[in-house]
Amino acid sequence: MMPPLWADLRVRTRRVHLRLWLPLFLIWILLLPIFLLVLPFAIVGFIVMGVKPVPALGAIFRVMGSLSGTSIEVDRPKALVSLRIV
Amino acid sequence: MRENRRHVLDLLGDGKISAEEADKLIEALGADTAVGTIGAGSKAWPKYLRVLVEAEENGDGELTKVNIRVPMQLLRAGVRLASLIPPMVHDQVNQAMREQGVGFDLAQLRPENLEELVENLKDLTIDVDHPKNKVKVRVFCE
Repeated sequence: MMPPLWADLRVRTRRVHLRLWLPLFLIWILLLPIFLLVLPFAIVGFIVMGVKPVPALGAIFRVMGSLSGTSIEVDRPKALVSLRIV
Repeated sequence: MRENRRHVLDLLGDGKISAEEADKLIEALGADTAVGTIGAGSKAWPKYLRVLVEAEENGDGELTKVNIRVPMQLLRAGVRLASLIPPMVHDQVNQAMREQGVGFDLAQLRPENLEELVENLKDLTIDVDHPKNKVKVRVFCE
């Protein structure tokens, strides 16, 4: 299960017409070293809280991997904002 | 299907398999049939949970529309994550939800109940139409 790679952000007002393809894979790459640094502390935290670390990390990754296909659109008379995770 | 069952019974009659093995084989044949029926005839599994809201804010006839699409796999993953919440947190979450008018026990949210939950969502359609505030909410699966 792959984490989402792109996010499509659209903003449309009377003055602004904007469409941005945000490369989420770059964010994942940037976050990877931070994640590796935080991981031991997270594992200790899970153990202290009485949560099994492996299923918990698996569940978190599953949530991230399931984000693809999520879409939120708010259409007001004067503006439209849309975010689609691909 | 009937032939397979008869064959299993023949094997049992000939003493080639035990009653327990025959029971397991017949059960497996029944499961295969059920899966086949779901795949062939019934409604396909929904992929998304949709929430549509239409509201008139200023009374000028112009509508604000909100359209949210959540993949069912995200719901599954969320339920799985929620099932890992430690028991000591359950009471606090339940209490907070009860204060918001949601009588829900988080301890009941278990991975083994997940498929049942998603299967029941398949036929879910909630329509809320509030004529006074001119708000329409629609929740459904597609």
